[in-house]
Amino acid sequence: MAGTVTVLPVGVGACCLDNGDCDLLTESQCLAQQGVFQGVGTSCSPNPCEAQPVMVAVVADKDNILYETVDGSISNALGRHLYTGNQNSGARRRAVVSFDLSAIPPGSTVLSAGVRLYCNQSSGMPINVMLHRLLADWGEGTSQATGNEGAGAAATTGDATWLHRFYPNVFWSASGGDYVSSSSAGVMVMASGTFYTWSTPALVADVQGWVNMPSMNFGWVFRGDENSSANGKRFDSRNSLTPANHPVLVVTYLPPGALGACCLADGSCVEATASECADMMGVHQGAGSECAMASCPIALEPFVDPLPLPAVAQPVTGTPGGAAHYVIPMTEQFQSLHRDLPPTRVWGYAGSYPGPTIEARRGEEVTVAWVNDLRVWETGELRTAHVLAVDTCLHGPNMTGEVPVTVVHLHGGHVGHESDGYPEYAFPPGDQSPVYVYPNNQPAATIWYHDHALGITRLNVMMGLAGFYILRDDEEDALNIPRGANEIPLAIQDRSFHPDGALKYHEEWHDHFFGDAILVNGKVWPYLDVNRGKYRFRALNGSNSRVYTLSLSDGAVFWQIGSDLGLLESPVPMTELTLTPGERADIVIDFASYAPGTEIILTNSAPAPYPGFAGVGVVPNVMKFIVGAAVGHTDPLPSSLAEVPRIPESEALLQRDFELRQIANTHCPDHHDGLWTINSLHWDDVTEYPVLNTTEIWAWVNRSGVSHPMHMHLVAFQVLDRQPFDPVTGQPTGPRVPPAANEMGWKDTVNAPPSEITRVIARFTGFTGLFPYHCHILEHEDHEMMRQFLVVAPAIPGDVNGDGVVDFDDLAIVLGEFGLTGPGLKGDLNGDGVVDFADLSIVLGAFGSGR
Amino acid sequence: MCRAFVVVLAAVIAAFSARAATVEVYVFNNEFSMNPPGQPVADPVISMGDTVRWVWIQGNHTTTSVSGSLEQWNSNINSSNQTFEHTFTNVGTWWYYCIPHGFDNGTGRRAAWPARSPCSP
Ligand SMILES: [Cu+2]
Ligand SMILES: [Cu+2]
Repeated sequence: MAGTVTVLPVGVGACCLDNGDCDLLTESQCLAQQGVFQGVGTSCSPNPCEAQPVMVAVVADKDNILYETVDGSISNALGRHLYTGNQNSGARRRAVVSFDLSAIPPGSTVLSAGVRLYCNQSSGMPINVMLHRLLADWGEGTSQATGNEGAGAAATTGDATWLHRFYPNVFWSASGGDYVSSSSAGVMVMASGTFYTWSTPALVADVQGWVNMPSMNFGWVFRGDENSSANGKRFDSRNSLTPANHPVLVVTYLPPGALGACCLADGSCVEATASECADMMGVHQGAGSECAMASCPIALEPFVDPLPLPAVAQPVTGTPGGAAHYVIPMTEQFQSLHRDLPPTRVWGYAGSYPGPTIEARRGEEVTVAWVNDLRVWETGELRTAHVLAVDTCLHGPNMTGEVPVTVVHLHGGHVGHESDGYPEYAFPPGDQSPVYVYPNNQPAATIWYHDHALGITRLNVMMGLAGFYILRDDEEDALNIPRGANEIPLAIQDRSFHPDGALKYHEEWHDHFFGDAILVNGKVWPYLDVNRGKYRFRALNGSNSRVYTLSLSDGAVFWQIGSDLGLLESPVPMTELTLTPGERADIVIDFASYAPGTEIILTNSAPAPYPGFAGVGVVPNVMKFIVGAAVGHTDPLPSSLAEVPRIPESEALLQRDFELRQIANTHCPDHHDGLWTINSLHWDDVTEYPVLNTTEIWAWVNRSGVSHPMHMHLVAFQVLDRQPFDPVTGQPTGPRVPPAANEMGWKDTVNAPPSEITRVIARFTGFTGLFPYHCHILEHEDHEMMRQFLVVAPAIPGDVNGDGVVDFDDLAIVLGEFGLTGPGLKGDLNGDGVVDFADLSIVLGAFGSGR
Repeated sequence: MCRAFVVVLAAVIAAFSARAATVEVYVFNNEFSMNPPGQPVADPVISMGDTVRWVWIQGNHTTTSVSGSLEQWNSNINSSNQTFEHTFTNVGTWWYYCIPHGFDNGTGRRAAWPARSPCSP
């Protein structure tokens, strides 16, 4: 975080010019330009020339009572009371009151209005007193019914009566007053000794109309319940002896002001005065602001589109869910992301955003040829430029330019370097990847594929290049957990839109992107009809920067059953789940106890940036569940799901510390935001060489103010602990705290909070080669918060523990794990997912070497 | 992070105001701003001789002038509701940062008078 203090020479201050602009001038310079000097040392930021709301309280300038009589001869101009409701005889009474609004300048925008009367006597039942806008002028003479105000006095010249606007010669067109038939406001009046206030949007509209056309201001008539008798409600008039109780109209308004950007509900922007903007129901961005700089959100109605479910990817050979070969193109298309939004140009895989779900099975190899078939939709030509603005200062596009190069990473897949979607292997439209091999030698998990091109990952993923890869296995299948129609993936992403539906993204690289709408599976704030039972949701935070803290709107408990790379040992009850970008959580929500028709909203409370400041930057809605009548999966959850043996800390050969922080942007000094780094090094600086089949502890030391979701390719890690430290001295300020139960599973991405050391432990198994590790805030990743480690073969094959000799210790490790399957087994020397005779023979073949 | 910068006024006017003012700037995660969290970030513009008082409302931060600045100050890490003051006696735009959460970009970075306009997110 950084700031400036600007010190001006003494004598300079803000000067408000006629056009609403603010300039810093001396008082004499300001006067020379006919400006209004705001005082020495005053600032144009915030702009003092911008119109501020003004509140005025206007006391009634005229009031009277219309008493129902045959000849219209009764009035009470100077009385101390106003009456509504019927006399005991059943005769009606109505009060007329008007307010002089000349204090409000023409062109002002009325923001609120309320009429307040003091009830000083209430007879009979509570009644609804309604207020209608009068359509004709009326008078206040000199009649005064002292001592008998309920019945009135003889009207005098100029008085309003039941029949007359001005007694004795000017008549209402309808007896009892000419007024708009629909009331502007109504309030139940039930007790004396109380103020009552009438305030509604219709009343605001009345006042706005009078400000616009003062000649139409005839005030309101107050009518009680006129169908029953003896229910009179008496209020203080403007002649009451208690001035504080006089009828008063309180108005807040924006004076007419200078031009500024005005954001309209459809996301468009026009330059208008604050009051004009309010007329258009817009949000004014301040006098002097310009549309070119404004970012106007589009108001979209939540929960109008059903939740889409991604299709299952179809292989070229083999079957979905088993060994199969796929050819998957990246494509450009227009998709409707919300009912009220024009279709959006997006990128996807095989024609859809998010991409189709690849179904895979443990131990059954999936191969994919990824094809960059991004074409300009209108012409069908291969793309030579990106849809979004490429910042060619960044590493990557400084070489590839505007070309939308792509490369696919299987996030969470235990795969070799050649198939990992190495960022520098990105290829242009018209080209394709080698056949990527996904061995699937790892437990069932919700993993995902997404773009990983160097320096433009944030843009490619923003366009839509992401999809699910669901890996299943027999162990998971044996569990009685919701499946089939009761198992639903949720890819949660935030986006912003232009009025024409186009995605809105920064022109120049910035620290973060935070959209104002949240999409699930490619729809803004969708809804899902659910039956009364348990559902398994595979939640993915696929957003560029936004963190989510998810809850159910009724506060109900749900259960997390899986983390990034597989099932937890047992279901973890929770009411709140935080997912940083790249993280996944398998959660079970039970709708069995809800009545049909119940609506439950999946809400978000995480600030942006995160952890930030409570309430700041939050987009609270995610999606809505609507409970139906049918009964669904009601079996209890198994109490035990999977075995997740902890990697002992003692197994680690070493601990590496990684300092996460922002430094001055030497790469792109013109950029507004600093460069994000790991140990102040860059992508090309390789300094970590883990030895194959060894275990290491990696410690993320976050010396910045935001959380970084740190992701490692290749490995499955476990979170060891987090420890707070003093950001200046670096000294710990508390103990190491083990993770919560829902973080005790296998993971590939971990939230590293500010001023904490987050330690993870990982076994580097299966493959040698270069693999990225990075922050999964894609804006950070694209601007140097991504580095790489090189997994190297042990100097001697068979030296499982890396101590330099192949001996009985190595043999013992292989024998100790013999027959086991899974990721990260040290004895799995050939990386085929199982410790077997092939591994044993490697040790035996090299036995004694290195001695 | 969105911020307005103001050009340095070259002329120093000798007259010294007797009415030196104090301007408050909030310190929180992760901004310095005259506005509270959730509102647009605003940097102070003051007159020579005025004082800026930083008020910590959240987090552990410093306010520290960049190296080479004519105006030099450095607070300790303060927690909530503590303050630090510095009186400015030099005309110019003075950059500062938070040691744990920012970076010293030196005195070379200057931006021209921009707009009185809102920034994109
Ligand atoms: Cu980051
Ligand atoms: Cu700080």
